[in-house]
Parts: sequence; structure tokens; C-alpha cells
Amino acid sequence: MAKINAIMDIGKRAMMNSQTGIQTVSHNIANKSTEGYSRQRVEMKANEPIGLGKTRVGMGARPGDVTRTTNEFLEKQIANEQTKLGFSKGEADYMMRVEQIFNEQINKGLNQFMGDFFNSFREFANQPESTSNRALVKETAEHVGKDFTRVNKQLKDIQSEMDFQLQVEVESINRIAAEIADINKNIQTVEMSGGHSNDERDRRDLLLKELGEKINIRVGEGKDGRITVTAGDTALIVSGFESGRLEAVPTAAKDRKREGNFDIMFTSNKYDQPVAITRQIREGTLGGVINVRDNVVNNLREKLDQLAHHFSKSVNEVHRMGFNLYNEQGLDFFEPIGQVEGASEAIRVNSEIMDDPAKIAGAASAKSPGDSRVALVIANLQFAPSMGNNMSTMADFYNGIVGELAVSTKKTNSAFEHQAAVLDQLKNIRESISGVSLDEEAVKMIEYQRAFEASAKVIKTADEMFQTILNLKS
Amino acid sequence: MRVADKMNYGQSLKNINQSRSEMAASQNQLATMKRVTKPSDDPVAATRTLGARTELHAMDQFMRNIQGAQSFVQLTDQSLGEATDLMVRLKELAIQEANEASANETTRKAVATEAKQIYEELLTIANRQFGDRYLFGGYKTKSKPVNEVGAYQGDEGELRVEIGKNTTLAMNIPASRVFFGSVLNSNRGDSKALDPRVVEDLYDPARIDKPAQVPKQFGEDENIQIRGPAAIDAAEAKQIADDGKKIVQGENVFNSLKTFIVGLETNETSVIQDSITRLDDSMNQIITARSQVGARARMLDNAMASLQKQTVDSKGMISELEDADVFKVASDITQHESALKATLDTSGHLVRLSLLDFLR
Repeated sequence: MAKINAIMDIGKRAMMNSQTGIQTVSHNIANKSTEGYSRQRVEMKANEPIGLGKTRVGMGARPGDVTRTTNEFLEKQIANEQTKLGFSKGEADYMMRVEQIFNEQINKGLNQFMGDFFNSFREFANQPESTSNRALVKETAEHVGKDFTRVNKQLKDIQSEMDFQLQVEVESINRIAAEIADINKNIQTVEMSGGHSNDERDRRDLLLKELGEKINIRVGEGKDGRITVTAGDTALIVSGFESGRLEAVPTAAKDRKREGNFDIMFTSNKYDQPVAITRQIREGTLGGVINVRDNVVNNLREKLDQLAHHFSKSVNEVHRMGFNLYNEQGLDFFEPIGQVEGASEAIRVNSEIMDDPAKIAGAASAKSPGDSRVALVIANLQFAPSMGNNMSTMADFYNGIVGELAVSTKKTNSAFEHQAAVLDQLKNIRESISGVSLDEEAVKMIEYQRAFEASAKVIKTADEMFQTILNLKS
Repeated sequence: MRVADKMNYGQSLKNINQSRSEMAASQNQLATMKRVTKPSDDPVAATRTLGARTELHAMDQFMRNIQGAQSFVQLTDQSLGEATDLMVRLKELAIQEANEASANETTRKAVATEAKQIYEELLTIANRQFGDRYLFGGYKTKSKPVNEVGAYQGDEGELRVEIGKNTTLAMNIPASRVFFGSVLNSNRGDSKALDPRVVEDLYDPARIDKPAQVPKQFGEDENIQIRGPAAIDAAEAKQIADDGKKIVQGENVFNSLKTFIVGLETNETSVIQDSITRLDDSMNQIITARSQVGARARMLDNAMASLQKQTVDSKGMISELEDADVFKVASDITQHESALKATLDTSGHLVRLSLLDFLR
């Protein structure tokens, strides 16, 4: 048996439902541009009908849950790809910079300075008596030494810059970890009472992606909506409501890492000793940066040292066989360098020769001012296959360094572009599922608005029905 | 597919960015005229150009070396030409004075004066300088190769210049060979120390030049035949033992001239007659030396020509590898430009379209 009271009540609740709907629509519209936001919708439920016998009359609707539209698997995939993107980005940024140091397409670089050096000995051989030729040899030799030092220093500078970036990244990792721990708390509070913490979860998903872009993480979700986040293999940076701390600090040389470069240390709480987790970092920006710093750049520095060492050693070897203008046996042309490591930093022209170019020993016999045989042998070193099992010349060796670097830079760049495209695609798919469409929201708004108007009409009708009944008596 | 607003915006932005970055890349190519501005643009091309530049750089130097050597060789050739002319004159004089009919003590005295003059001139030629280097002194380029009594002070050193990768050429001929009969074609054994290419070649002690073996210094072991037929056979005198080996010696130009002068001054016909042969030998020796110099000049010219060709080839290769194809880049830019316009156009429309506009 239907009742006018019930009709009025249904109308009232329907009006409230429409308001809930419109409020959700407005929430969606307001968050249209919020990064990581998933559109929400109100799930309306029909109320239990009441009735006697066969006649069961509907009792209107009530709002069920407000849920977010999201695809968990897609989110995980995005997080994965984002970690890879972070790695490529970390690499690509610095590879580009490293490449510039060796870029001789436009500027003069080590290859040319070495060419100049050998040419200066050829010029010297044309007229070994000339003082200006001797000065030329001295100058070009000085330039080669300086350029070795320049390349080495620029590589070192980039390494320190990377250390600085590690520090900055680690700080933001700590900040994100702390925020995730906070959100864990909110989500647990909301969801214990059976609700859906849509916005908090959106935010947390976003933070996890950001975190994953910086460092490789593993995420585990507990039953109460709390998550734990492990960075690398062992660094538990978020555990429930607690967050651990990462730090970047300079440490001694280890593995491929050089002395003074930064290690990433993890401290779970203030009572524990910090533990180095650098080796566990394989992905994310941090992984990319560390890879370039410890592998790529150190590799280049080692090769450069080898070249500088070999170059100065072979020139010295020949030069010592010569005679200078004072008819003395030749000195070491470059200051002798003991070990290969650090050779590119240590290489410089013998100070005695710098002070007096007459000590350049280009003659193979004494008292022969016109003799330039030793100078010619030095010039000939340029095209002598003396490196890499006597297979390549010094120029080949250097060009090999540049070629290798060019290939890996190109590879890194295309990996980065590819990864960015993949991620774009995935984000598009995500938006198509979770993104807000204004058209859609406009339609919904009209829908709810009309429902609201109709519900008001229902109340008005019920009221008129009451009036009709009351008017029966008079 | 459901299309959310953010997709529209994101995609528009991405497309515009992409078009713009392609534009920028093409524009950069056009501005620098280079296709490869950093090694990673094309690693293969970059390493190949780097290698080619090294070669090109060296070739530039080889060409400079050749230019320097050409002047040196030219001056040498000129000097030997002058010397030849002098020898021709000497021979004329010798033939004229060797004959009792037309010559007598007075004419011989007069000719002796002229011969002495020629001797001085030859000395000047032997001591000629190129810049401040003596042409004929071997490695001893800073001191006079021949002193006033006609003794050689220089050595057998060859002034070598690099005229190509791993190729050197001696640009000088020491006076010992031109004027003192040291063996012209000899490379003085096969010691690599004379033209060392690698450091090991320098370990040979022969690199430290022995004093030039200058034969027959005047008045030392030379028999000046002033009386009657030669006591020693002239041909035999030209062979002296050196380390058990017989080395064929040439003629000592200054000595032959001195002999001639002595013959004139002493009015000794047989000596004058003898010196005709010796002067003839001397002249031939100088001519032979000159022809060697000519051969070197030709080698230098050839080397120069081939270097010039190689330079053009290398430059062509580098350009092929790294230079931008201007026509292609220009058409690319036009293409990118229309793409960008289209993107901007559609994006503008797409982003503006909304249901809300139709709900009034």
C-alpha cells in the first residue's frame, strides 16, 4: 500500500542523491587536471521495496559507494615503465654532456691537438736549426698536455655533478617516503570503517610512480590498505606508518666507484648504522646516474689515462735517443709518469724543455744541427700501430673511444625516446580509463539536475495530494 | 575508445612539441650546414670523419714539407747547374792549354789566374746557403762544408723530410758526394738508422754518424802528378780499401782543379793533359748529382700532386659523411612547417570543442 509520506520521503532522498551526484561531478571537474586523479562515480542503489502480499512498492534510491575508476594492473605496468624511463633519463642526460666533451665535429679537441703535436715535429724536421720551430713544438706539446688534463677534469666535474644530483634525488625520495607513510595512516583510518579512500589512493599511486622513476622499488600491500616500499633489495623505506632515510655521502673507492664519489646509504631508524645500498640500485634515475658515473665515465677516464701514458711514454722513449742543440743526449720529453692511473692528469712537458726549447733532441747524432731523424721518428709515432695489441694507432685508439661513446649515447637516447613513447601510450590508455571527460561530466550534470528537478516535482505532487485529501472535508 | 580531456591536451602538446623539435633539428642542420653536429648523430660517420681529419691534418703538413723541400731542391739544382757551367769552362781551358801548339807559358799563367777564380767560385757554390743552412754540409748545416784549402768539413747526413705517411725523402746531397767523390748512389750500407722509422731503428749505433769518409784530401794521400806519367794508375788510385771492401771512389773536384792549376803554373803539359780526364770526371760527377737532384724534384712534384688529390678525396668524403644535404633539409623544413601548422590548427579546434558550448 503506497503512502503519500513515503512518496515525499523518496522525493526528498532523491533530491539528496542528485546533490551527491552533482557534488561528485563537480569533484571530477575540479580535479580534471590533477595528476594521477581517477574519475569517481556514485554507485546508486535501489532501496528495499516494501509491500504486502504481491504488491511490492519501490522505496527510491540511496547512494552506495563513491568509487574511483581505475585499472590496478595498468597502474603497475605504468610504474614499471616509469622506472625504466627514469633509468634512461638519468643516463641520457649525462651521456649527452659527456659526449660534448669529446665532440670534435665543430670544436678543436684532443684528436686535433695530438695531430698538431705530430705535425709540429714534422715542421721541426724541415728545419731543426730554427728556434721558432722549437718554440712551436714546445707550444703544441703544452697544448696536448693541457687538453688531456681538460678532458679528464671535465669528466671529473661531471662525476661531481652527478653526485650532487644523487643528493637532491635522495632528498626527494625521503620526502616522498614520508608522505607515503602519512597517507598509509589516512587510508587505514578511512578504510577500517569500510569506506573507499579514493583520493588518498590516487595520490599514493602517483607518489609510488614518482618514487619508482627515481629508484627501483618493490611494493607490498597489506590487508588494511597499508603498503611497504623496499628500495633496492633491502632498504625498507616505507613500512606502515614509518619511513626510513636514504643519504648520499662520499666514501672510499669501492668496486667501480672512485674515491670521493657518493654512496647511497640507508638508515632504517636512528639507532641503526647506515648501510650502503648503492649496488642494489639498478633502475630509476639513480640507477642511470650511478651507471654513467661509475661505468661509462670511469671507463673513459681509464682509456684516457692509457692513451696519455702510452703517448708520453713512446715520445719519451724516442726523444731520449736524440741529441739536443747542446749535443747532449735527450731528456724525457714529457715528465715521466709512473702509473697509468691518473696519467691524463699528470702529463706535462718536461720543465727543462719548457724553459729551454734548445733541449728538444731531434737529432740522432751529436753535433749535427741539420739532423732531424729523431724528430721524424717521433712524428712517425702518429701512424704506428702501437696500441691494442699493436693493432691500432693512437689516433685509432682515441677515435675508438669517441666511437664507442657515440654509439652508447645514441643507444641511450633512443632508449629514452622509446621508453617515453611507451609511457605516453600507457598514460593515454590510463587517461581513457581513469581520466575526466568534461563532456561526460556535463551530461551527468544535466542528468542529475533533471533528476533533482523531477524529484522536487514529486514532492510538490505529494504535497498537492495531501492538499486534495485535506480539502475533502471542507 | 573513451577519450578523456587530458588525452586531448596531452596529445596536442606532444604533437606540437614533436613538430617543433623536428623543426629545430632541421633548422640547426641548415644553420650549421652539417648533418652530424655531435658524434651520436651518426657514430659511424663521426669516427670516420675523425679519422679522415687526422689524415687530412697530416697531409696538410706533408704539403708544407714538400713546399719547403722544393725550394731547397731548386736552389741545389741551380747551384749544381752553375757548377756544371764552370766545369765546362774549365774543360775548355784544359783542352786549349793541353796542346803545345797553341799554348805556352804565358797563356798558361793567364789561364791559371782564371782557373783560380773558378776555384773560388766553386768554393762559394759548395758553401752556398739556403736561408741560414748550408746546402751541401750534410747534417752540419751551421758551418761551412768546405774550407778554403778545399777540405770537406761536413758529413754524409741526409736532410730528410716527410712527404707522405711513412715516406721520407732526402732533400740534400752532401758536398762529399758532389765535390769529393764519395759514392753517389751509395746509401752507405743498409743500416735503418739512416732513415729510422721506429725507435728500434735508433738503437743501431750507426745512427751516430761516423766522420764522413772524404777521400783524398789535398796533400794527404793524393798523388798530384806533377812529373811525368803517373806513378800510380789513376783508376787504381780511385779505389781505396775500406774495411776490406773496395769502394769505387769518384773524383775530388777541388783536387782535380788544383792539379790543373799546378800543371798550368809549372807549365807541365802532361799534367794538364791528365787533368782533362779528371776534370771531365769531375764534371760528370756534378752532372750525375744534378740529375739525382732533378729526380728528387720530380718525386716531390709527384708526391705533391698525389697529396692534393688525396686531400680533395678526403675532403669530399668528410663532406659526404657529415655535411647536410641542403635541398633535402630545406624541403624537410617546409614539410615540418606544414605539419606544425596542421597540428596547431587541429589542436586549436579540438581543444576548444566542448559540449558545454552547446548547452546554453
